Amino acid sequence: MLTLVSCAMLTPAVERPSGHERPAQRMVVLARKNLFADLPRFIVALCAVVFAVTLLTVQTGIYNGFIWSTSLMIEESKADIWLAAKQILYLEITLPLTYGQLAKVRALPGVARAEPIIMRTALWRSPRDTLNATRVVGFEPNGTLFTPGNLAADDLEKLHQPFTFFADASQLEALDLRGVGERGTVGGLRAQLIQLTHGTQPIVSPTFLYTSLETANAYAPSALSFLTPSSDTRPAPLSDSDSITFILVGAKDRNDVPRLQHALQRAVPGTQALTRRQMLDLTRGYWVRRTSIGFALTLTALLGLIVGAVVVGQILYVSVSEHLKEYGTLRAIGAADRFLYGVIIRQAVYMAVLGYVPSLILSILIASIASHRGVPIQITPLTALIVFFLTLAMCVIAAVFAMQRVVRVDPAVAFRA
Amino acid sequence: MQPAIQAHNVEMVYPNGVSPVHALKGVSLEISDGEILLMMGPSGSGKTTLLFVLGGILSPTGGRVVVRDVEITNLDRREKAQFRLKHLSFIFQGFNLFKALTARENVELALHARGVRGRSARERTQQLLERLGLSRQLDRLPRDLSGGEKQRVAIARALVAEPDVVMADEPTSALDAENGLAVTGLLRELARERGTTVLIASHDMRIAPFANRVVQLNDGRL
Repeated sequence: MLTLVSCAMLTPAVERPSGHERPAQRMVVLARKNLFADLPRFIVALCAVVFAVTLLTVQTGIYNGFIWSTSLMIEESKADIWLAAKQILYLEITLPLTYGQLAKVRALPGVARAEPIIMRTALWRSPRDTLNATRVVGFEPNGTLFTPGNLAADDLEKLHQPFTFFADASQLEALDLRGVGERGTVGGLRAQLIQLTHGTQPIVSPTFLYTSLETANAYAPSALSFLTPSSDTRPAPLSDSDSITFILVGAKDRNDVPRLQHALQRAVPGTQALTRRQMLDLTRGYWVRRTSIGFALTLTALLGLIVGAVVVGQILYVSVSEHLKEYGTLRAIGAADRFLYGVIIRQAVYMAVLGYVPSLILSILIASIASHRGVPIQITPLTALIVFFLTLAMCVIAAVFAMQRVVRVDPAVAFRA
Repeated sequence: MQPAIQAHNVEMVYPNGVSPVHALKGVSLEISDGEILLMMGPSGSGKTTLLFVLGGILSPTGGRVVVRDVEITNLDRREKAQFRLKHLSFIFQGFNLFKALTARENVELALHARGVRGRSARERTQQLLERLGLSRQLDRLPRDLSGGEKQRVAIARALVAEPDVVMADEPTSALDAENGLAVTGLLRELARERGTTVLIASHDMRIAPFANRVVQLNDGRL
C-alpha cells in the first residue's frame, strides 16, 4: 500500500535551471553505467581496443627503434661534425678519406679534437667454420668522440691488444660464438672477442665488430685472404695513405660549427662536413626511402586501428540499439542532441582510456622482450602521448554510427509498451 | 483560467500504403492552466496520437496546436525538443526507467538533461523522492523496486524540473488497482501543489474521479 505524504511536507519551490549550467557535463553516470551494464560485451570491446592500441604502439615503437638503430653510431658519437667524402650516401655507403687528411683537420683553428673512424666490410669465419658478413668499425679506444655502448675506459683499453674486437651480445649466435674469449678469423687474420656490448648493433646492418684503428686497417676486405692466412702478429700503425671512412670533429666552440663546416670543406677538398643532426637525417632519410618501412608499419598500424574502430563502433551501436527505449525517453523529454552525443562520446572515451592503459603496459613488456632479442622497440613518452590521442580519436570516430543512431531515435518509441 | 493547451481542428493521417489511417479527425480542444484532463477511449481511438501531437512528439497533418502561447506545429524538430525540455514532461506506460541507474539517478537525469548542476540536482531529487515516500529506495535499481515504486520514481522524474504540463500515457496500465489509484492520487496532489497542467491518456475508468474533466475520444473524434 502506498503512502501519500502530506502536502504540508512539500518542499520549498525549487528554482528553474539557470542559463549558465552545462548540460553536456551531466551524463557521466548514464554513460558509465550503460557501458558497464553488460560486462562481457564491454570486455570484448576492451580487448579490441587493447589489440589495436598495442599494435599501434608496437609498430610505432618498431619504427622509432628502426630509425634509431640505423643511426646508432651517430647517436653514440659526441662529434659536432662528421667529415666524409662528398659522395656520401649514408653512414655505411661512402667513399674513403685518407689518414693523412686527419692532420689537416687537426691543424684547423676551432678544432678541439679530430678522430678517425674506419668502417669496412669483412667476412667472418667462426671457430666452427661458419661464415658471416661483418662490418669492422675501427676507432680510437682512447678517443672521446666515439665510444660504442658507452663502455668504460678500462674496457676500451683492451682493444689495444692486436686482433681483438667487441661485439654486441645479440650477435653471438650470428658469429657462431659461445662467449668472450673465443676466436675466429676476419679476412684471414685472427680475431678474438674480448668484450660484449649492449645496444650497439643496428638491426639492418651486418654484425658490427668494434676494433682499434690498427686492427680495422689490418683486416683486408678480400675474401681471397682466407686462402692465404696471414701470420702477422701485430697490425701496423696507419700511414698517411691508408684509407679511413670518417673524421669526427669536436669543435672548441659549438656556436662556431657552421663556420667550421665551411673551413673543413675548404681545407680538405672533396669532402662534406655534416653536423651530427645532418648526418642523422641523411642516414635515417636513406633508410626510410630505401625500405619504405614507414609506409609498411603505418599500413599495419592502420589495419589495427580499423579493426579496433570497427569492434568499438559495433559494440557502441549494439549498446545504443539495446537501450533505444531509454534514448527515446531522453528524446521525448527533449534532451538536446549534444547531450545524447555526450553520452556516447563519454562511453567511447571510457573505452579508449581503459583500453589504453593495459595496452601501454603490454607494449612495454613486448618491447622489453624484443630488446633482449636485439630488436629495438622504442616507446618514448611522445610515442605514448601520440598513441593515446590516436586511441581517443579511434574510439570517438568509432562512436559516430552509434551517435547517428541515437539522434535518429523516434521519441515515440518511448511510449510503446 | 488561462488555456495552457489549445488544439484547433487537428488532423493526423498515417500513410499506410493504399489505405492511410486517419487517426485524428478535426480534434479541437482547450485545456486550462492547472487543469487535470483525462482523455479516455478504447484502444485505437487516437488517445496516444493526440498526446503525441499535443506534446510536440508528432507533427499533425492538419490543424494547429498552441502550448503556452507557442504554436508548436510551426517548430522544427530541434525547436520542439527545446520546447519539450523547457515546458513539458512525460510519464510513460512502462515507466521507462533506466535499468542501470538507481532511483535517484533516474530522477537526476531529467535535471541533467536540463543542465542542472550536481549538488542542486541531487538535493532537488532527494527532496522530491522523500516527498514521494521513497527515501529508502533512493539507491535501488529499478529491478529492485515494486511497480508502484517505479511509477512514483517516474512521477518524480516528470515533476522534478517543475514543468508547465505533464503528459501521462496509460500511467496505471502496468500497476495493480491499488497502486494505480495511489499513484494517480499522488500525481494529482503534486500537480495541484505546483499548478501543473496534467493530461492523462487512459482507458482506465477508475482514474476519472481524479480528473477535473474527462473527454472521450472515439475513432479519432472527441
